[in-house]
Amino acid sequence: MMLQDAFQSHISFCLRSGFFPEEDSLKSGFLLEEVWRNRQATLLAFAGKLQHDAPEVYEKTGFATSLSAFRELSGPQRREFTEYPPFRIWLNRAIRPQSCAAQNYPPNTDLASRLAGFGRLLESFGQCRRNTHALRIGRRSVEVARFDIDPLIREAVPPSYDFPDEAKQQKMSAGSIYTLQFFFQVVTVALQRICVGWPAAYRDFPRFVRMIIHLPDAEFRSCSADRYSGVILLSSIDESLLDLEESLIHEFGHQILYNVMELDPLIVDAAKRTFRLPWSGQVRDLYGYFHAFYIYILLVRYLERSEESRRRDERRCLRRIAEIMSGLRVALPDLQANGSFTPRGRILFTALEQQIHELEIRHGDSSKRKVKACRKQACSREELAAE
Amino acid sequence: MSPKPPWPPEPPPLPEPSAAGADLGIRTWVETVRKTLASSGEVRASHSGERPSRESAAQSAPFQPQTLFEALLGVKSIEIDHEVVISDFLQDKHFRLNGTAAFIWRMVLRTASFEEIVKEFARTFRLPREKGEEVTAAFLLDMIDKGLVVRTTH
Repeated sequence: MMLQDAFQSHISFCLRSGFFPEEDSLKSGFLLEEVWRNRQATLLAFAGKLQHDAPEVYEKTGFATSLSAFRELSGPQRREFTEYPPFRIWLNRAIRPQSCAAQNYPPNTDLASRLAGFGRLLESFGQCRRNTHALRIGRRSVEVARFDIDPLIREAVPPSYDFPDEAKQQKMSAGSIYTLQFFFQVVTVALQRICVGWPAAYRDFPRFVRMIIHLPDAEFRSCSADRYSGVILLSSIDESLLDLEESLIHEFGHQILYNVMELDPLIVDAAKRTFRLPWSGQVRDLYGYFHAFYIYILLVRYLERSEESRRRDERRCLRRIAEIMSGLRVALPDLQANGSFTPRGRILFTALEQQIHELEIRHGDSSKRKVKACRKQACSREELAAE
Repeated sequence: MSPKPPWPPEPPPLPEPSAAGADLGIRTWVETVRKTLASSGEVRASHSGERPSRESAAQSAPFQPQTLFEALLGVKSIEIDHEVVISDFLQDKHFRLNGTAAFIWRMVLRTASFEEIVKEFARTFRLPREKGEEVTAAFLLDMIDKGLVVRTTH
């Protein structure tokens, strides 16, 4: 019997174009719809299993009551809750085997406290929606914070970053001229510039990034991980608005892939081999290499829009595009040679290969020539100024 | 008013295994079992466990009009919005059904016959009977193959 599985076809259809922000939001809308419904189904399946295997724990921890409260929320509220980063962390931890092996239910206090924590999350979710420190983008908002974050995020972030103790936090806040309010304003401007350069990316940004944590003392420019997806970490290292825009787009790209990978891993046996990233020289497994590959294509697509929309940044954009393109040329054969993609991963990779061919046409030799021309122009401007 | 059947835009089908059922840690899946009404594209069974009491898909087609279906012991379902989450506690696997599939599932829970399911399905989704029969049979075969549904005579 032949029958079309709509989910498989839709997701493959979306992957075929590379899953980049587009004018219509159909693809990202479909992706996020699938992801939240899967999370909701996972929660209900988990609850069902718990009720079946350990009815006492299910009732006594208050989980049953909280689950009823969740089910009573409206559809949009439930969706928002499943996209709330602390909930994602909670869900992933709740369904971990060591927490959930049926035999261990009664004595497993860790599980009992986690279950009780579900109610707390529902409450904190309500408070979060009233948070005033949030960037408003359309009807959505992105929370901006520094150290005042949910304990689950605080637990999940290391080793990306180790949050300082309270005394050090206060010292840092008092001694820093780079206040959270100032950071908030800078990010607002950077996002406005993204809106001008790539409106579709601006529109999709808050659908994937739910929280920005500013860490002034972090040693990286930006960071994220799938264990705390929906949250991005930014430091104070970015020297210009364009750098910050790049960091925002970079982390936004990671978030898109984390969501895609909730539906399909794209890569199997990722840890089998390691690679040196041609852009930064850092060593990553195939998973990291593929993420970087996708994100640098996304970045070129952003930078070429910035170059067109802002003459002042033209030279820097072209130089950056040339740098990224040279890395992509190295990465392409590395990834072509590996056979570790899932069928859907292969579809996405093929779409990305096509993107590179298109970028080569636009930025291959011409980008090198443009960079040279820009340098020449700059020199002659300097000469004129000197005269 | 009857709901309109969901049609996918136009993507050509791809023969690929469903990897959406990633191991979520409790040796559990939440797999998207979406069924729509367009033809072509293979539904791959991703069920790997075997239970002697269960039918294999190869044995079960075609269905007679009076064939009855029921959910197997240990299989429970929960409804949310228009969807259904099915839990098979014996296999420790969980599935997510979209609205169309959920419609058939609800009829299975009422131990409806194949004829009743096809008739009701085709009427609700305004389909020609043949199409309704094709879709219903494919879904039931898939459910039997996944060890969630069994044919019964009473």
